[in-house]
Parts: sequence; structure tokens; C-alpha cells
Amino acid sequence: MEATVSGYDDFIQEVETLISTYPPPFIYVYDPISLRTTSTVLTKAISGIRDNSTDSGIEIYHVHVDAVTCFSQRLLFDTIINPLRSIDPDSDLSERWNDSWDSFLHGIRHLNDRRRRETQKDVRFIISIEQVQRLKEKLPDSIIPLSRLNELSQVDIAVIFVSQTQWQDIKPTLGASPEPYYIDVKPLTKSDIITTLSSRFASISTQAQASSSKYAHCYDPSLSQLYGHYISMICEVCFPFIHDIDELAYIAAARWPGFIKPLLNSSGTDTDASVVAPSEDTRLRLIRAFTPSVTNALEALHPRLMNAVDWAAANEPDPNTLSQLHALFQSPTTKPFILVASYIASTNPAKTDLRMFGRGLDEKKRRRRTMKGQIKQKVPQHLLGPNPFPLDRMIAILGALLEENDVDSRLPNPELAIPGEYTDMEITRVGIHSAIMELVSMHFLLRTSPVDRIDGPPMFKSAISQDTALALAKQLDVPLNDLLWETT
Amino acid sequence: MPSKRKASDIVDLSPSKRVALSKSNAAGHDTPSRQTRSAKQSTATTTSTTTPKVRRTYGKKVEKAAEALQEVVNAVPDRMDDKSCTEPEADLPVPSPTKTRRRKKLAHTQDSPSKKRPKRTMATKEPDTEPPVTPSRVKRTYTRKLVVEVPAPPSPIPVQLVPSEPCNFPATPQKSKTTSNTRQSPLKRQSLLTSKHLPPQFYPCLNAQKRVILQTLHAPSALFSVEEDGNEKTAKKLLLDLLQGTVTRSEGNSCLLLGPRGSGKSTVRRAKVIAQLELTLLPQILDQCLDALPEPPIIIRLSGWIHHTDRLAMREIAYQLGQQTGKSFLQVDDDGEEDPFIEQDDNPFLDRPNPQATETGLVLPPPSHLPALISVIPTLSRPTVVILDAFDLFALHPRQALLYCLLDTVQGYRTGMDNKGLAVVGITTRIDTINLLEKRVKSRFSGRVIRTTGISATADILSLAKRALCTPISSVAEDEDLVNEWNDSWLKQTSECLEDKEVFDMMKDTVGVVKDPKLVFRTLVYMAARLSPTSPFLTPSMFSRAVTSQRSRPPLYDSLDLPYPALCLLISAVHSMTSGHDVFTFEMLFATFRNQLRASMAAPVQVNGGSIGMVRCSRAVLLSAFEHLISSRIFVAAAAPSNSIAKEFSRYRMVLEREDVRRVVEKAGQVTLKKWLYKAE
Repeated sequence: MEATVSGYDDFIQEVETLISTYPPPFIYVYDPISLRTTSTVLTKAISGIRDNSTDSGIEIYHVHVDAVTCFSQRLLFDTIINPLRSIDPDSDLSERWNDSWDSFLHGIRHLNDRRRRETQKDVRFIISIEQVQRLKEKLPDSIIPLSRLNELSQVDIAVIFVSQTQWQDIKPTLGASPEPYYIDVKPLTKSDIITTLSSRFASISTQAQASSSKYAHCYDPSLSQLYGHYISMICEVCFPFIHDIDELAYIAAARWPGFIKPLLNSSGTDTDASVVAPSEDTRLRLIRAFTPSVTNALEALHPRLMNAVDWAAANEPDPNTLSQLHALFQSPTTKPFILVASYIASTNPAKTDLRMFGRGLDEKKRRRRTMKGQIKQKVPQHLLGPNPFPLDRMIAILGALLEENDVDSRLPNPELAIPGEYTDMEITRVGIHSAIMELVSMHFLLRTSPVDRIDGPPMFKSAISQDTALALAKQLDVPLNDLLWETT
Repeated sequence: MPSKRKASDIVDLSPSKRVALSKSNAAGHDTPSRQTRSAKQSTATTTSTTTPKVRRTYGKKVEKAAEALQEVVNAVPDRMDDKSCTEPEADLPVPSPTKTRRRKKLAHTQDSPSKKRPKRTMATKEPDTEPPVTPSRVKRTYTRKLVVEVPAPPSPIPVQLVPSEPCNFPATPQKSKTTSNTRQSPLKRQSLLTSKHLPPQFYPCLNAQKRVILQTLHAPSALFSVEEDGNEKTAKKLLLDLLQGTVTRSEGNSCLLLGPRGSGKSTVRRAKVIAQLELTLLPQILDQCLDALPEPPIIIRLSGWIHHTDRLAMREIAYQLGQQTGKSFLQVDDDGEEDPFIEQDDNPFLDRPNPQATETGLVLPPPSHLPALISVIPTLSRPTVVILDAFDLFALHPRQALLYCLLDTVQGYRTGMDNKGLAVVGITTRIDTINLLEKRVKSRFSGRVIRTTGISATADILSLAKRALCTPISSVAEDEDLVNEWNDSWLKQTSECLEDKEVFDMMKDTVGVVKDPKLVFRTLVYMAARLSPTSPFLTPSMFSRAVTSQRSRPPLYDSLDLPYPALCLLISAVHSMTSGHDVFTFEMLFATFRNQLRASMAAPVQVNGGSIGMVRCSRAVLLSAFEHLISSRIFVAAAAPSNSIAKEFSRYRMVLEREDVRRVVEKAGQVTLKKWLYKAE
């Protein structure tokens, strides 16, 4: 799939030695950092052994299974058996060896016998399972038989678990599984990553040229050297934050077209023959110009807030876009008020409402809680997450907010002369309730009580973050920080 | 004078050149040790054949001397030539057929057969001579020379050798058994271990050696069978007697194999049932069988790990019976042996000479068929052995129906009837298994418990390890001399490594932790898999690495190489724990981080143009680091995940201890992070 990953030499050597000679029946590969890379390397190493070992007396068949996809026993059996079965085309598909462990073992034995008869060689099955911790969650019963597969099936078979967690976290109780042979993958160093990513340029380039994608011109072979420098720049910026080679490759791929664009533009039109490696000076200028944007790429792409293609497209011009959420509430409706009110209701304790919103009382009573002087500090509610609140309470807070901040913007209505009467009417309108339900459907509010319960007011929870709430409040001119019980 | 010696040089040198070199060598300095050598050479020429015994005693003494000298050599700071000298002497020690052959070869190339011996010894060291030597090197050269010479001379111990022994001779106890192997070892260690690379001609040998070791470790039953432990022997004999009774006399037998993990229960089973039983019982079975084919018993293997219910087990019994009798059914087609099957055609468990019939999906037989199924076993044409792995788990099945039926059938056996024997062998590690049986089942069980024991003594383990590691390779390829040379030096190196005090201690610890030879084998596999041309021999340091990797697993923080955001989260979590909140949410950690960041930014101190404050990190990046920590189980959920709780408010707790975090942070070596962490203490 990809070129070799440097830094895995020891791992590959160990795996090759073991698999090609006499593998321990149960191997556990532990890699906390970059699991995907490890399993790719593992698969490649084993297929390499297969190719090299055609002349030796043993035939190796390898199945790689991702436990994420095997959430039922049948799926697990099928994903293991089917690739083994497909190696010989004339096997009858009527037999399904997937209904129980017994039949699974029969299947394994049957296939092994069959291959041995056909090839007249010893046959060895290697089964590697990635993300084994998922099996622990979904199929805890399967771990013991898998780890004992060799002795249960009585054929030459080795099971390799590849996992991000340690064996002690998933091993069954009472020592039911034999202890595995451990292989620990050493984390890749920065220089390893730089070497690996730079060496991938050639394969990317040929692929891009062959597929004639829209980025083909970006991967002209003459840019290989510049790409090396570019990769070191990326790693310089991002390596402190990410150690996973795949993530770094993702960021590098997203930034490269933009990075190379000024160069391509300057070198002429679209004649890719004229792409020449830039001078030292140009290279330095390019790198200096783009280093800040790599940080942006990291912040947007590593958490997958955007995908690489969109990010690359968005970052060609100067990124000057507003947050989507804020644009949603540009229109002056009651929805922002509802959201702010729900945030207050979720964050403040119910018994403080009178103090915070009571009108006409002594302002001094509105004393807010301070965080000083307590031995064991209580964690502020806004860090613990929102509390549920009854609908009535939120409507009341909404009324207080509207009365404070929204009265002046209303059309005059002489019929409602008593102070607060107008607001009372506003908050009992059906529009408010429908807006709430709409917000629930948009997941800005969460309903915590069951929908079909009719006694008592329905309970809700605010689902917006503090930042959003503060932004909305600022838009509405609500002094939200003063209305929160706990100081931040 | 031995400055650059390469194995290839040694090998490539023509005999005539060797003679020339040796002559120039002999013309060198005249010192006591040199005299010794020449004296030895002369003796060597006179007595070409010696008794091994004499040689061995001689070798022992010399080895001591050599070792002492080795100490001196080691004390000298490393030199280039240490690394480059290799082991051309490997073929020197005990005269073997191949050696004499080689000697003859050499002799043919020379004119005078009488000069055989000296030439040969010279040939081993000749390339030392080329460059001029500085005086400081001379002394070391002598030591090495001396050692080189050692094995060759046969008879009485030269007196001159004794004074050359340093007085501060370290009293390293050597076992007499291995001394004969390690006669040359000091030089060997010096030359082979310090050499950066194995000479390329030995690569096939190394690979073959790895292969042989891995093979031995893969099927260690061979090792056990060699070792006839007293207990092991009785266990074997008991089981064999029992099975013989079943097969030859059609007895019904039941027994329980009880022993800790890795004590060879399954090995006993496999070795015996399949190999030995067939061998020992071959004559009787031959008598019985008309067509003179050995007829093994029907073996039914069940495992408590996968047969969670009796019905699953029944289905598997029926399947295995069908498979095995189906085969024999076809074999003895003319003998009329198939009668029982035809008669009982209505029995759902017997009518499957065709294995396809069983593959019809998971149709479990009803529990009521159990007695019928089990009662069929005695009527089969061959004796049956039922092996129940994880026997204790079968005892946990409701009503223990399967065990009851099996043991009841066994108990009801009468010899002399037409039935074939049935043996039920349970295998378990659980000591109180018999107590798990219900009263009615227990009374039908014969009560025979055959115990196997693990290996208790460190010496046993060491000898086991040695036997596994010191398997000689047979001729891999072309050159037999090469193979012998390799085998000799490998044996020496390995026994030396195993005799090391450090290795002995580690073995002792290992055996103290678990008396499981499998663990030791895993460590050995680890070492064997890592042999490479750059480090071709086992060393104590390799052993300690293997023990760390396989036995005492490195703690979590050791393997962690966490990026900056994850470290920040770990430290925040420590702060949260300090303030009494063991359970935290992402928001709490983020707030701590933000405050710290703000605090460190407050004083814009710059050193060498770089800020010494903390590095800024966006919330989203931190959140993805948080998720990474969750997926690698450093943060574990403290409450059940819920749909209505946003992920930044779900509660987690940290698996790492404060101390672990400190180590991880110190490994990362960022001053700001360290300072921040220390604030929590």
C-alpha cells in the first residue's frame, strides 16, 4: 500500500523471523500511538514473507481483521473464514462455518486440510486482529477461544492481537487465556517520520500522475526535494502536538497544494514541464510564509473539524469566515433568548434564581458566590456540565431576560400597561413553545424526561457550550457573566 | 601485532601465506609467554593424538589463566582491533572427525606432514602480523596469543603457564560440565561479541540456529520427554496404564489430570495418547486388525472454553464421532464393522459417515438425547478416549448432565462383553475440581487424580533453557567446517551467558514469580528472534531485556511517548486529583490548562528570542488528545456513557498514578510542564 515506514525495522525483523519459522501461537502487539501504521506494517511484513516463502516448505495464509467491524460472533467468524476460503476458488460456498465455535473450528480444520492436500506443503494460518479492545466490549466470550485457537483447532495457526491497550486491560479473569508473546512497538521518532513521509513522495507522485487527479500538477517529480523540506517544516510545527504519522500525513497532504501554488503560479501557466525546483531563497520565503497556516491546519484538521479537501479549498483565499453557529442566529428572534435562558437555567442552582433575577429588591442581596476560601473547592457547574431544569423555570428566566432586555424593542401596546404584563403575554405564546421544540430537534436543547410523560413539566438541558452562550449573550446585550451564580 | 584481523582474511589466506606469516610471527619478540607458546608447539608436533580427558583438565587450567588475562584485557580501553578480530579458532577444541579431515586437508597441501600441527595453530592467528606494533599493544597481544595457543597442545600442563596467571585472579566458579566447552571462551567472547558484525559466511548458520531454537521452543514436549522427572514419569506411567487398560482390555476408566499451567498436562496427553500409545499398543492392535493397520482409538476432544453448554458439547461429540468413525468406516468397509451404524440408523448421532450431514447449521440436539448419545460410545468398533479440557468448567454446567452420563457409562462398564473401552480424561488446573462435582457424579468418578508438577528448581529451568538453546545445527549448507565452527562457538557463548550470575538471578526471579516453563520459553523466543548479524550471540543484557518485555511487563508510562496536548491533560488531571476531584470532565481539565496558560503568558519573559511560557493549544486539539487518551485507556469512564451528556462533560478518571505522570513528563523533558506538575505537589 505505502512505502516502508522507517523505524519499524526491529519490529519487522522480529515478526518475519517468528512468522516464517515457528510463531508463538498467541502474539500480542501493543502500540499506544499509531495503531493503524503498525497494522499496515504488520500486514505488509506478513505478505512479504508469503511472497518470499513460496519455495520453502510452508504456505502462509494471512487474514487481517478489524475488530471494529466484528460486532457479532457470526461476523467475526465470517471475516476470518471467508478470506481463507476465497484462496481456493472451487470451494463450495454452501457450507457456512459461522454458527458456533465448533463449526468455526471445523471450518478452519477443513480449509487447512484442503490446502495441505492441494499444495502438498505445510499450511500455516495467521490471523491478526486489530483493535482487540472492541472484542472485549462486544464479544468478551470470544477472547479466550481466540487466544487458544492453536490448541483448540489443532492446526498450525497463530493469532496476533494488535491493540492500543495493554493485554492486562482486556485479559479474561482466572487466567483463562494463556499469556501471549508480547511485542511492543517503539514509538516513531521525529526523524523517522520525516524520512518516511518524504520517501512517500515518489509513490504519491506516480499515483497522482497516473490518476490525473486535480492535484496531479502539485506532485511533479521535480518537487521532490522541496517536499522533503516541506515535510520537515510540517513536522517541526506539528510533531509536538501529534505523534501519529497518519495524522501528520493528512495535514501535509492538505497544505501541500496551497503551499506549492505560489511557486506554480510564478513559474508560468499550466505547463507542468516548466515546474522547476525553487531556489534556496524562494524555499525559505515559502516556508516562512506558510508556517503560521500550518498551525491553523493542525487546529482544524487534527480534530477533524474540517476535511482536508475543504480545508485546502478554504485556505486558498484568506480565511475570513465567521462561525457557522453565530450566523444561524443573526435574525432577531426569541431563539437566542431561549438559548441564553436555558444556559442560565442549566448552570445556576434553582434556588438562586430569585436573587439573580428578583426585581425591586435590595441590589446588595445579589451577591454572587465566590470561589475563595474553601478547603475543597467545589467544581463550578459550567465545568461539570449542564443540569436538567423544568420547562417552567426556564420560561420564567426567559421572562426576566425579556423584561430586562427586550421591552424597548417592542411595539407599543397601550392595552398592556402594567409593568411586565406584555412580557407575560409574550412568554405564554405558542411560538415560544414551538421554538423550544425546534431547538430540541436541532439539539441545542436536550429533553431529559421521556416524551410520553405527562405529569409534571418536561425537563430540558442546555446543550450549548459556554463560549456559544457568551457569544449569543453579547449579541443580545445580556450581561451573562453577571447573571451566572458562579464566577468563572 | 594483531591489529586488523578479518575472518575473511583468515579463510582466504592460502596455506603457504599462512606459513610465511607464522614464521614472521615467530621471529617476533621473545618473552616468557612466547616461549611457552613455542614450547607448546613443539609438544604439539610430537604428540598428535591425546586422550580427551587429559586435554580437558588441561583446558580447565588454561581457561582460568585465560580468563584472568581476559580481565586484564578488558580493563584496557577498547581498541579498534578488539572489534575486528574474529573467531577462526572455533574449530580447535575437541578433535572431531571433521577436524581431522581438515587437518588432513591441510597436510596434503603441505610438503611435510610432520609440520601439520604448528602450521595449523599458526594459521589461526597469522593475520596479526601485518602492521608495526606499538609497545603498549604488545602485552595484550601476548595474552591473546597465549589463549590462541591453549587448546592445541595436548599433554602435561606447562609449568610456565602458572606464573603468568595474575595474582588477582577472580574466583569465578565454573561448572566442570561446561568448562570443556568454554575452554577458549575468553578469546571467543572478546572476538565475537565485540565484533560489530558476524562474518557473512556465518549468516546461514545464524539463521539455522535461530530456526532450530524456535523449533525447539515451539514444541517443547521434546525437552520434557528428555527430562525424566520422577513425578513426571509416574504421571506418565499411570496415565499410560490407564489408557492401555481401556484400549486393550476394554475397560471403562476415568481420571483427572491436575496440575498448574505449563506443567505438561496437555503435553503428557498429546505425547502419550498419540505417539506412545500407538507405539506400545501396536502389536495388540496388529493382532486384532486383519489388514495389519494400526488402529488408534477414537479421540474426542472437548474444551470447556467453547462448549459452554452440554448441548454444544453433545453436538461436538456427535460430530467428532461421525468424523472419526466415518473414516474408519470407510477403511474397514469389508469387515462388517459398520453393522452397529446400520442397525442404529435411526439414531440421529450415528448416521453420519458423511461429514457433510453435520454441517447443517446450528441445530442443537435436545438434552434428552444425551444418554442415548453417550450410551452409543461403548458399542463403537474402536475404544474411545474422551478428553475434557478445562474440566472444571464442565462441572459448572447445570446438573452436570454430560459428566454424569459419561462417568455413569464408564462406571457401568463390564469387561468381557462385546464393548470397546472408554476412557474419560479430564484436564484442569483447578485444585478443588472434585469438590465441584455433585454427589451423584462424584460417586461415579473413579477418583483417580494424576498430578503433574511444574518445574521448581532454578537449576532445572536453566538446564531446560540450555537444552533448548544449545541445540546444535546440522549441516545447513555447503561447508561442514563452518557449521562445526559455528556450533562450537555458539555452545560456548550460550553456556557462558547462561552461567552468568545476572542471568541466574533473573531466572531465579522468573521461576519465583511463576513456575511456568512457558514463560521462560517466551523469554527465550524473544532473544532468539532478535539475534542478528550485528548481535549474533546471547548476552545477559539481552536476557534482561527479554525478561522486561515478557515477564515483568514494562509499566504503562514506559511505553508512552505522548505529545504535548496529552501531557497537558495528564498534568491537569493530576491537579484535579490534588484538589480532591478524582473524577473529572474535559471542561475541568481545559479550564485548568487555560488558567495555567494565562498565568505563564502573564510575564512575557523571553530567553534567546523564544518565549519560555507554555505553548498555546486550541481547545479542539486538546479534545482530540483527550479522546486519544480515552481510547488508549489512560482515562477510563467513571460513569456509564449516556446519549444526553456531551462528551466534554462525561466523567473520567485517570489510570496513571501521580508518580507515573511525573515520569512521563520528565521523559518528555519540557521545563514548563515539569514546573506546572510540581505545583500540584
